[in-house]
Amino acid sequence: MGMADKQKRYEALVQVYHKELYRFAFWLSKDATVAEDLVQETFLRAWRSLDSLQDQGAAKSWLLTILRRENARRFERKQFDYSDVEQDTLVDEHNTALDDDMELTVLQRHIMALPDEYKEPLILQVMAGCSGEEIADILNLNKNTVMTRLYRARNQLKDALTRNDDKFTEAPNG
Amino acid sequence: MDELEFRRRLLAQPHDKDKALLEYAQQSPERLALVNELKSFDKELQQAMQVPVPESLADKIILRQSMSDDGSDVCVPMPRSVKRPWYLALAASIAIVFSVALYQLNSPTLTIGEHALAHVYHEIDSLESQDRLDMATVNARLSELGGQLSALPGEVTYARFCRFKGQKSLHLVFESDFGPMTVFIVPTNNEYLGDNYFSDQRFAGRVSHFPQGDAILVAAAKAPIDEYQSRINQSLHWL
Repeated sequence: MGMADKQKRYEALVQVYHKELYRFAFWLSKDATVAEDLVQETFLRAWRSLDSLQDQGAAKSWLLTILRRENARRFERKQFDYSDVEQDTLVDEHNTALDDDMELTVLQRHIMALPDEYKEPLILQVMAGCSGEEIADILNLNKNTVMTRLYRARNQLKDALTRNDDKFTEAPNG
Repeated sequence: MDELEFRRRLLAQPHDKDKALLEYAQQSPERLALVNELKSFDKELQQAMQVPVPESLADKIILRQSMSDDGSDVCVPMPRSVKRPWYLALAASIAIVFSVALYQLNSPTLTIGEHALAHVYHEIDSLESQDRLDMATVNARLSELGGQLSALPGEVTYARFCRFKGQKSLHLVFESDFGPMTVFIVPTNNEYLGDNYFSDQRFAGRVSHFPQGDAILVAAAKAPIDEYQSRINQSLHWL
């Protein structure tokens, strides 16, 4: 591939996918600044291995997979042992940081509060429009597991929204 | 299919177009109601997930990638002695450039032409500059690189120190009769790869080698670039 062709192809990928990648990064990281860094890193990596992307149809899954790996690296870099930290602590900590950036609606807070294993496939499906197969591919799970998690994700959200939860007593926007 | 499976499948994928699922849904108003409820819930979810994306993120991503091809390729603004607040127009690109500077990466080698073109695209705002810089200001900068220009064939609108392939250089833009043209003055003759003629769909360029350095001109593709090249070369002197 010539440089000019490669550049063109790359810029097209950036234009088409940067918003979805940013949003995925935001929901993963819960932080606008981190999300932007993650997207930048993702595209830099994508540039370096662009030749390995043969199938244009797979571009979205490919980029989302890279981004997810970049996010995992972020934790490695911090020598942050995710499994040792209680999920509650994580959620609280990040929600505090989030409040500075943007005001979240009740629904957004509930999405943010979902465990990652449910949140990730749901974001990929609803926001990024990924199919069950694509999600399975990105998350390295089998499709049945993905479907179960998607079911649980919506179930939990619906439960949370109907429950009178002290954590989310704030009125929704509007 | 039973109610439980129906519910599980629908909650997993409200927009599932599976025939068996849809037929099962058609059989009762309650099931259809659930389909609709979940579809509208998904619409709400989708809206909630559409967090605002920073403006110009795409541009920043593309810029950073281009810069990463030569990590040292970082322009720095001229000192504030320039009278007009030209930096306002450039504030955005400077911010980007600073963040780029943090990520210096190894990269494939670009030819001089590819590099010059990439550089112009990185700082495409430079072509829009409305500043008017006198030759004394330009030469004050250029003398640091061992050069002087008696004149340029048009008003100078942009003059910044830059890294050109790692070499401190001066990035100039002047208004010609054929639109803005860019000149890179790069001291010390580097043995660059590539032709002294280059172009893409939008721009054409010429490289002039001197014992003390190179002058690289980038102009609109249709401009009479050779004429401009010779005028610039005649006015360029090395100290």
